[in-house]
Amino acid sequence: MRSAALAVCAALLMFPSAVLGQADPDAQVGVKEGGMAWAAAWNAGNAAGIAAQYADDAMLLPPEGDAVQGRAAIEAFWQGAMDALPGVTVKLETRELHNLGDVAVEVGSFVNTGADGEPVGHGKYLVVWMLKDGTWQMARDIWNSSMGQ
Amino acid sequence: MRTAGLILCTTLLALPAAALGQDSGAEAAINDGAVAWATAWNTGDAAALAAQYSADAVVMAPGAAAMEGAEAIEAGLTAAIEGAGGSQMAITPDEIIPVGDDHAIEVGTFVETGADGSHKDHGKYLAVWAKVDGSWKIVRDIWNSSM
Repeated sequence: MRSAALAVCAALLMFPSAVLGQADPDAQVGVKEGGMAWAAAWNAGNAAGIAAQYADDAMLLPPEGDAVQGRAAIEAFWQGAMDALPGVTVKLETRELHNLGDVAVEVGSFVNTGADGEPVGHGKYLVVWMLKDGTWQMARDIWNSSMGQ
Repeated sequence: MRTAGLILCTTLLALPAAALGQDSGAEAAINDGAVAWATAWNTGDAAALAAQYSADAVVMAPGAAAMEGAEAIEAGLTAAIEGAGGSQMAITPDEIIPVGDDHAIEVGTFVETGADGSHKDHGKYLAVWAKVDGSWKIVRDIWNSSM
């Protein structure tokens, strides 16, 4: 009886500990892979590949526009951005990553390069990642330009 | 035995629920913080504005490099207030996501009205809060215009 109760306890307790995600060692890997996949998808003109990095209920907070909610709307947003910026490539660099359990905060910088190889923009971003179904997914994404106004 | 086991389970399970942040006080602190931020801006009080940030905070304003640390943040916010010409800020936290006991993510919107009453700007922000020495501080802050 005692060992059965203990087994139930152990099973029940594993769930909250997974929810708390104490120092999940995979955040570093998951976020890095996600960021690389994001940039590769942009540079390949693959809006669906970008959207796949976001949680289905993610929120995008782009400059010069209203918030964009949900993966489908986010894919449409990035498709529109690609159509408006033909040949522009992006390079992302993670500056900080704070693993808070099943949530991680990434702060980074981006550089945009035109089709002619000239820099056309640079700025900074903050992404809130969430561990969902065993995968690190982008839940909130906000950025702005660092170029003087 | 079964009852005792159940009580033990219940007690142990109550602990992680608190650790999930349901009782961390983040929501009240952040709502108060949004009011305090706007009040400080609207009265031109850069020191009060800067006091909302942790010593190692990073503020990522549009059109400039990031400001890192309390000193740079106060200097940057002082310049921003001086450049704003008495504008008034209204801040609305739309979403507060507690993360554990001592972190929270806030997503909200702002409206800036010029001293002459004209609509100057509106946009959105994301702030990461942390409980530092018992009080909630902004540790990362980024925003952009929606215009």
